[in-house]
Parts: sequence; structure tokens; C-alpha cells
Amino acid sequence: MSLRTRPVHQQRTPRVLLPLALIAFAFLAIPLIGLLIAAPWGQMSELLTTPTALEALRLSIVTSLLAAAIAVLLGVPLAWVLARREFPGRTLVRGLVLIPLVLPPVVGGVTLLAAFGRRGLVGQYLYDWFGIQLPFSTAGVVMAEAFVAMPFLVITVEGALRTMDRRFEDAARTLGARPSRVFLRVTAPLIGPSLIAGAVLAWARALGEFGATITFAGNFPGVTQTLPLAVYSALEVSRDEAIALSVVLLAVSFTVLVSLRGRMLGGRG
Amino acid sequence: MSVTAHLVTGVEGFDLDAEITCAPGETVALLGPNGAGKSTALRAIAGLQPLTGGSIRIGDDVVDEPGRRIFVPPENRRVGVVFQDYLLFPHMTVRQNVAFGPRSTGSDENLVTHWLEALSITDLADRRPAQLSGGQAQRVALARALATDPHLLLMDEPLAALDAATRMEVRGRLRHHLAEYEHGTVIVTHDPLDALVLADRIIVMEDGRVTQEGPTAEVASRPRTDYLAALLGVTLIRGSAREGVVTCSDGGELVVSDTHVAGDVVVLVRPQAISLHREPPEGSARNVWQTSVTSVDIHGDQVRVGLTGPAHPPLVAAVTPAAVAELGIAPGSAVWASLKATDISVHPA
Repeated sequence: MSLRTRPVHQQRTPRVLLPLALIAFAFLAIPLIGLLIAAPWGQMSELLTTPTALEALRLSIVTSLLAAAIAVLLGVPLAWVLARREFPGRTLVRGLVLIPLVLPPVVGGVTLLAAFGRRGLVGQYLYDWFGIQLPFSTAGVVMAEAFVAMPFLVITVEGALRTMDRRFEDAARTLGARPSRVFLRVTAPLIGPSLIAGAVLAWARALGEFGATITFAGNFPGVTQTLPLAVYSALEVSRDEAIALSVVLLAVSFTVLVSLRGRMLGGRG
Repeated sequence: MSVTAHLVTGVEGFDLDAEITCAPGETVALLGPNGAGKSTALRAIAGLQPLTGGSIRIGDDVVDEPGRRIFVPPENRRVGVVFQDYLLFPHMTVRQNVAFGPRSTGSDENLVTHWLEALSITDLADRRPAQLSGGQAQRVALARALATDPHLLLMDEPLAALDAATRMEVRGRLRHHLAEYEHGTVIVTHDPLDALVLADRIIVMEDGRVTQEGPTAEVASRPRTDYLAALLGVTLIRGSAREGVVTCSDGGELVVSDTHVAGDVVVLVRPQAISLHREPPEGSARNVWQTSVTSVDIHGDQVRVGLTGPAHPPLVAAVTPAAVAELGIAPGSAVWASLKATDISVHPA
């Protein structure tokens, strides 16, 4: 009797799994193909250069980049504290930080209104003392996006800070480096790939943000109407325009995925 | 500078209580099995592991004494550390690695060039650590530690990451560099050969305690614990080799089988390799001497016989109690000793 040989890493597929796996793949792939087929390729340039589309595109790029920048600026220190400091209630803090990951975005928008609305916990003082009104403003869009995007950065960076070889930091300290220099010159570069991945994930999440934005910031063209909101509005007037804008968002998602292929597709970078 | 330390820490069930000293210019080996607390001791001296008791003094400065609430963080201790797998910063070039210390403290960057040259790694300055061989990485790690002009040098298993062939070469070169370093050096190792070749003094650690301590040759020839006896029990002789003959620093000569090695060497002789005879022996042994017995110590089922004579360095022979009785060996008695050249191991130093 001869033994069948196969590469060691290739496991035999249980017969029941294969058809289900194919269905799952089709379920995920067919809508994307449908979008590409339905796309009005001939009128693409006109549809994407209407004032509404251009405004939404500009607003989306500006707000999502700002939101990602805020996520990095505030999220990295938070990740560091969660990864490196022991303090009572750390588990609770981490839980709170990660809530936006699982919270329905609409609820996120409602919580933002409750806190930063004109009669909100913090919002009333912002308005009474400084005349600042965050809801239904472009700043509100950035806030809503940062709220849902930051947890992606925090968990990615915290994980990297926990798994990195901390002895490099020890080495830097014995060489006379103060804690801030150790962080900037040794820790940050060593977690660089995760930091970039976390920032890109946060940016992609901010770019696609819909629920919290429309709840907290509304849907005003030129002020708070980002691309996903424009897609939603366009569906009622021009299906072609909605599809064209969707193709743009799909292209962005695809680009993000390719740029992160090392982590998301399980490849080797 | 010197270090005087009484190290007491209890971390995760492990308890360390050891006194460690190192004089200026001296190289001390912390020798012991894995888990003996050697690396913890090193981390404590570097400031990476705070003490729970005792104290550490580097030169005149107390850097850690929990009883008086004194703790100087590692960045202010001026202690250079060569870590076990070197821990060169992977995102920096060799030059950036070596310059990291001086740039952190704002001190003299001329030392960077000096140590790159002294350790012959100037040609590698623009490489990344991933492009270095083990021996090269070790030199970069040493240069990086020395470029901060440390008052004390600590090395954690400096040769463990190297393959056997590189190891021998690097060991010899390291001894040379350490001899030039004016302050104290503490080397952690579990390899007796590293300790024998590199150290002036050996501190043996087992289970978080110091079990023996003394000049290298003394510890090597008179091990007091079973661990050390099994590990060492060798006679260590320094000398200079030329064409298969080693002229020993303590007098006498040894014929060795390695005819290529030349210059300063460390010679190791196992006491079991020396035979004792009543009459002049005839045979293949290249080293035959008339000698007299200085000491007789019973060690388990072996008797260690100290030998001294004009033609050979002080040696120890291990023989059976029966042989001692038959040959009538006692302090002061005259015997013949023989040692095969192939039983002598020679290491460049």
C-alpha cells in the first residue's frame, strides 16, 4: 500500500465544510461584483464631479484624516498607559475604551449628543462659556469619526506594546536614555508597523463612518455630509450617483486592504 | 570604578541574596547554572531590577539602597551592559547604535569613532544589525556599551549566542579588550571556559547564593561544591605558546599537541589526566617530570594530589585511594608524574 503524500501544512478538508465555504465566499463577493457591474462607468467622471460629490469627497478626506490624526495623537498614549501601567480599574478602563468597537454607531452618536449637545454634560459649558457648538458642525463630524475610530488604533498599538521585546527599552535605558527618548527613538520605531496598521485601520473606519456622524453632526452638504452620507442621500435622487460614490469608497477599502495585506490576509507582508 | 553590592531581591518566588564585589580594572565572572540568579544580579546592578534589601555602591555612589529609599534609575548609573543576544536596535545602523548612548547623555561623540576603530567595526558602520554575523554583532554591542564611557561594564553571557568556532576567537579577543578597560567588568556566564579565560576572579552562584569565590586559578583547582567540581576541577595555567611548547607564567613548561597556537594562552589540565608513578615511566606521554607532593585531599572517591617541581607548573593529580596507598603518597614524598600532550587543552588568550 502506498501512502498518499501531500505538503505537511495541507490538511484534508472535511467534506461538509467545502460547499459552505463556497457559499460564504459567494455571499461576500457577489455584492461587490454586483456593484462593479451596476456602476455607470461611462458617466463616472460627470457623476463624481458634481458639486455635491466633490464637497462630500473633500469633506470626507479632511475629516477622516483629522480623525485619524487625533486617534494617533491621543490613542498611542492611552495604549501605552493600558499596556504598561498597573492601576486599579485598568480592566474597566480598557472595557470602556473598546466599547465603541461593538456599540451600534447610531448609539455612539446619541451618546455624543448627550455629552456634547448644547444641553449636554460638557456641551452646555462649551456653549455657555465659549460659544462653542459641536453638534451639526464639521468639528462634530471629526469627533464622531474619532470616537468610533480610536479604539482600532488603541487595541492594535496596545497589543504591539505588550508583545514587543521590552529588553530593547532596557538596553536604551542603560545607555543613558531618559524615558521620553526611549519611547520616541526605540519603542515607537519598534512598534512602527503596528502603529501604521492601527492608523490606517482607524482612518478607514473614520472614512466609512455613517451612524454616529448623521446622528451627532447631521447631513448638511458642504458642512457635515461626508461620502457615506452622500451615498445615502443620493440613493433617493440618483441611484447612479450613489453607485459611483460607492465605487470610490470600495476602491479606498480595497487599497487599505492591500496596504495591510501582511496582517489582514495572513501573508508575510 | 569598583562595585560593592549586597544584592537582595525576591521576585516571583525567587530569592536572591548575594554579595558581589569587583575592583577597578578587575574582571569578575559570575558563574553558575541556569536559574542561579546571575542575570537577576546583573539586572539589579544595572538598575533594571530594583533591590528589596541590601545596597549597591558603584565607586563612591550608592545607587540602590531600599533601606534608605535610594534608587538611581539605570539611565543615571553609567553602567554599560552587553546583553545576552546583544539587543542591537534593529532600526538603526551600527554607527547609530554606537552613537545612541553619547547622544542620549549629550556626551562626547568622539568615543563613537574611537570604539568603532578599536573594535575594527568602522567598515560595518552603515550596516543594519540584521546584516552582521554573531561575532560582529558582539563587537558592536561592546562598542555601544563602551561608547557611553561607563564606570562599570556588565556582560550577560557575552559568548552564548555564538557558534563554537567563532566563540573561541571572540573569547580571546574579548580578554584583550577587557584588559584595556580601566574600570571593573562583571561577566555572567554558565560556561566555565568563559570564566577561566576571561576572569581574574570567579564568584560562583547557586540558587541565589554565592557558594564560592576566589581568584580564578584557585576556584578552578579547588572547587568546593559538587556543581563546581563536576563543572571544573581543572587546573588553569597561563603561559605563552610557541611551536607546541607552552612556557608557563608560574614556571616550567608543557608540551602540547596544538603546534599552531602561538602567543598568550590559557591551558587547562584535568587532574584525572595526570598519572603518578614510583619509577620514571616509559611510554607515549610527552610530559614526564620528577616532582614532589605538596598536598593530599580526599574528594569523594578520588584523592587530589598537589604537585610541585622545577620543570612543571603547580599541578593537581586525581588518583584513587588505592593508588595513594600503593605508591605511599604523602605530603613531601617524591613521585614521577606523566601527562599526555593530547590531554592538555590550549586556548588563546
